[in-house]
Amino acid sequence: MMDGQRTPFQAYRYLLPALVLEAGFVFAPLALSLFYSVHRVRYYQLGDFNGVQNYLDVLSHRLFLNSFLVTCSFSLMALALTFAVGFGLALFLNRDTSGSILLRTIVLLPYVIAMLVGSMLLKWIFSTDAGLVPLAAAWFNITSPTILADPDYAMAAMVANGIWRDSAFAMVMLLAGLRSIPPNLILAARIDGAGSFMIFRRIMLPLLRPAILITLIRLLLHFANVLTFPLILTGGGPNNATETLALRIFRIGFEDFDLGKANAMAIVLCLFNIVAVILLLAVFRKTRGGQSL
Amino acid sequence: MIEGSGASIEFRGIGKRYGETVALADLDLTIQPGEFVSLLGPSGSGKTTTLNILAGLISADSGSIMIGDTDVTYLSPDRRGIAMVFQNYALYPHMTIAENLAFPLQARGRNLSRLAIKAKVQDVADTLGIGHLLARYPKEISGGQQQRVALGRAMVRDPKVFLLDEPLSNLDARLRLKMRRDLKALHQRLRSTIVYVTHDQSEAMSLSDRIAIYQGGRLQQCGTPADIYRRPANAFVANFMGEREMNNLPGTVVQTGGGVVFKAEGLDLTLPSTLSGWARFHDRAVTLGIRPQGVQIGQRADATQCEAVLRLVEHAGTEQFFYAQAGGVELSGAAAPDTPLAIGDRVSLTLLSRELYLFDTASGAALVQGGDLAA
Repeated sequence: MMDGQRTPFQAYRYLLPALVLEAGFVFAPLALSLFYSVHRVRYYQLGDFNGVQNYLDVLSHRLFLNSFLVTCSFSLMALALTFAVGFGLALFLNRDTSGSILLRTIVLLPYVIAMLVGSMLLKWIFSTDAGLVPLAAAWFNITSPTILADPDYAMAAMVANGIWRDSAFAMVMLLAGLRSIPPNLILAARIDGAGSFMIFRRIMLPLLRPAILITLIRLLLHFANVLTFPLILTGGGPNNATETLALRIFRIGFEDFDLGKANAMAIVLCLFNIVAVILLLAVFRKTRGGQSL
Repeated sequence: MIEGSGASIEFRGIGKRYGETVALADLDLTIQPGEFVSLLGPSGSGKTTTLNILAGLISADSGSIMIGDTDVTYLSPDRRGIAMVFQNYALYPHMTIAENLAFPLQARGRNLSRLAIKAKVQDVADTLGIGHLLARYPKEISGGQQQRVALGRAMVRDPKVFLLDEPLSNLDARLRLKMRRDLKALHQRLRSTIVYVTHDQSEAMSLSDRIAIYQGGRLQQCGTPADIYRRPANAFVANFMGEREMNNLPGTVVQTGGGVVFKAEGLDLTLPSTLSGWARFHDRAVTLGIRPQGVQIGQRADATQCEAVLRLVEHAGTEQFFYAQAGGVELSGAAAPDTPLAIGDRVSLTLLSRELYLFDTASGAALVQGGDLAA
């Protein structure tokens, strides 16, 4: 009875550390959030149970739709551009020359410095008085508007913040995917007479599907929930033009100190994440590798 | 006689080095149209480098390569009119077998209709007996079937030259023998030029019109299988060819009153009168080589004899191999399967004259062999 009997208990023993972490950092906060979201919580004082009232208040607020749309447009733009830039970098730097190793390190820098610092840095770069971007625009005789004070430009600046920081992440993920393609397949395709484009489209792209999917999901979740960019770079302005759902949650919770509503909104954002990922998976499943004959 | 559909290949002074390591030294080799040539040698001997340079996957440091009448030295792989089968097959895992076979036909510059591609794929698949697998994916078929698909993907473009990089080494022994036979039959039908890389001498022997044998980045010898086996250029080739290594006895040749004697460590072998000419090699250190098949039990007139004690006996089905101690040397030999042999037996051994080789110990070069009538 001592030797090699695999009981369910033993299996759980191996799972336990992961389960404890999950419980501590995912399930408990989520449960707590759900609990607060159906109570009145003002200034950290737990009040009465009030059912779905918080949800109704949050969803019917005049700024909710605005921040929902801001989150959607920011996420989609940042996702598309960051992915494109990251993919480009991965393809460009998928060689082991000394130059590309140096470049990879440089590209990775924005990703490893603190988000907060990065966004403050960009805020300074975009600032009217001494910023590099207005200066560069002036160089080309473009009378530059006050970037962070214009709704469209502010959104563009926020997207730029995302691309600047997270294309390095996309690059690393896709580079790993590229490296996992057996070199023999590329050589075989070359001998089979395929040009670079055909190799890319017919061999590399289909084999990169898992890496692409993981990269897209991670980026989407990141952009949909990111707080630092709007909080530091634009402050949600001008006139709430860059106020994302995450920033609204922050404001309701830590400026109005209405944690009940803030948690209700957090649950809404969580559902939004789930729906977004399901949509992404559905789109992905529609496309298939290879080419039918 | 009808000329084959293959192209000739000519290596002219091809060299390749990686830093200080010479991967390939000054290779000159000509392959005739429709010929099946094996590049044989241990790993790191330069055979795969030769193939990769021929394919255009790596570039040579010096020299030039002709395929047919075209200098392909600087051409990209797809413009050389070659097809290659990789050791691990390199099938595209995300494509069905049909898509794999069609891939080379869909490459740019071949404006084939969908129907023509389909017909060609079906044709090749039927030739190789994989017509029923077209809808499957590579991971859903067996190793032998994958091997056929890889071969099919090479055939589908009707290349002038096939390059095969150890294509059978991932198969189990029985299947390897069967594929060997199929490959030979296929070559006889297609009459394409085939360059075949292998480290398995029996594979090279059974398949090839000619064998090019490599060591340390140098081509050692190129010739027909029989030629290479019977008339090795040096000790390396002699030992590499054949299932078992030769007996190698370092020593000297001495002219005595009783005839010409080969002196090895603690063993004097009197050479028969037919080999008396070997006395001319008395001035240098030599190595006497003889394959186990040339060492037999029993006495024979006018042959080299010695007494020995049996140390080990191995049964190998059609024959048995034995190891015997003679003086200071151990000789391996072969006997008929029904010969009663027991360890510790004292036996008389005969070294067949036509199986004897003499190599220069320092350079390894073959000096003379008993099979030569001119000896």
